[in-house]
Amino acid sequence: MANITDVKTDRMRFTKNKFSANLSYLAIVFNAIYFVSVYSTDVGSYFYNIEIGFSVIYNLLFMLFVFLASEGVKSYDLKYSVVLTVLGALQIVRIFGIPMNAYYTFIKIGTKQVQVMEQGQFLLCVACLVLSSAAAILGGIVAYIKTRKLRNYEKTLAAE
Amino acid sequence: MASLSLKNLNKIYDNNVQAVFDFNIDIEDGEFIVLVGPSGCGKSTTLRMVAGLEDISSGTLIIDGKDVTQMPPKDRDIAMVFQNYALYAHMTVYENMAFSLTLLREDPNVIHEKVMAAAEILGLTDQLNKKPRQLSGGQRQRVAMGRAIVRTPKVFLFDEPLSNLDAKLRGATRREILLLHKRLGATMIYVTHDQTEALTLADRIVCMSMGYVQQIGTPLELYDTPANVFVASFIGLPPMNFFNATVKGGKLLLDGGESIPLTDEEANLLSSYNGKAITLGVRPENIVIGDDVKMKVNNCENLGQNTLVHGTLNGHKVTAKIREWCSFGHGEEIGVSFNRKHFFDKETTNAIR
Repeated sequence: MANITDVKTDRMRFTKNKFSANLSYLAIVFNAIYFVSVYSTDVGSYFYNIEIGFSVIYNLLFMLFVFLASEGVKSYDLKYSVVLTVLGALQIVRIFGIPMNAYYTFIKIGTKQVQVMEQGQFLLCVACLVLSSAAAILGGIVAYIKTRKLRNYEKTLAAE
Repeated sequence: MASLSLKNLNKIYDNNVQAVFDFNIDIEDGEFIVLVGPSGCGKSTTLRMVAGLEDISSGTLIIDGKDVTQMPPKDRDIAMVFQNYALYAHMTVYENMAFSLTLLREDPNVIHEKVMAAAEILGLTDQLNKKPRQLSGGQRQRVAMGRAIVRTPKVFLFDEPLSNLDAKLRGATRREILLLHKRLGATMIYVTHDQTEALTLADRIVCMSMGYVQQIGTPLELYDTPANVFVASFIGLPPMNFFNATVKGGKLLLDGGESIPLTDEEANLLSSYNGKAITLGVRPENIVIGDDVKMKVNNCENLGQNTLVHGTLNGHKVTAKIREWCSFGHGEEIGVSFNRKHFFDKETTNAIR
């Protein structure tokens, strides 16, 4: 154990990357909150179309793959850190899908124009997606850096 | 590392069963003490009292000059290795070894250094990422020892750690424990019912029976000068042969008629027992081919360097360990002599000295 940096890196050979894994779980939690919030109001059966089906499936797949990625990054698997980062980035893209459309859509009910998603709900959904995205991207990047560092360290060990 | 003092320790359970009677011993810093005895003799109970896992009914336990009798186990700075390893199945070897230090909120880098050092001592460096189920029994026991080592406790306690291992592995792990003790110089208390472990590992052996300490001494003392019939029969393999005998002048008259000559020294020792009945003890390895008494052979077991000759002598069952390859037939009569005898008082069963 030459110095403190070596010890930290050496420790990674035997300890899991819990930081990235925990961030992944956080991404799942925020996505779940988004999932239960986004359809909580409906105006004139706005959400009743094929899009809702894809949305539900995507939410389930997102949570499944982030969970898989969390296991991957926990054991320093480089490709899962990329998967986690990409899934995180897609969360930002999703803001411009259902939440944004619903926020800007007004449906005429009787004589009144009613907004499908009011501002409070919209902000909650956006916040959840942003936080979910941030957690996943940060988890992915940290996992990538740590994994590269560990692989390089293992190479030097093998060379010795 | 630490010295220990166990003063008048007693253990009485709630149902009034007393498991340990008046246990006294002073253990020096770095000493390897082995508690040996048959099942139910109170050795594990004594160990658990030292660990704090059993309340001490009466008596005092002092570690490094400090009375810890009423102290909870976590504050005694003692590490215990159990027979069943007690490893966490869901944790890797590294995590198992680091766990106690993690609970103590030690710095992760310090934990890492300690775990790596312990793993190196125990030859577990290549196994650190494995789960306990992927390890052999011997490796699991080493992990259990590693978990104790990383804490650098004052005292190591081992509760029959080799009992779950096969004979070959037991021998190898026993040697590892011995090397570990030499390397760490730690105070260790080791419980076993296996007298071979006791003889090979201990600086001093505490031989127990029925909750009482029978004898405390070095392995050689227990083997060579047993305090009573129990110690004489328990220590040594094959066990000592015993005969009822009566002292008659310069001879010993065995029950059944045969007489055995005594040396002057032995005759002096037994002078106050003239005409009285005693118990004669002879170790199998102290029986040699000779002409003092006749032994009727039942069967022989050739062990290569030695031959175990089983037979009867005046109706007593006898085992002799002859230092050569021999093959006596069933029913054959051979002459034997006893080159070393142990004498015990018939009533007290104590050694006559």
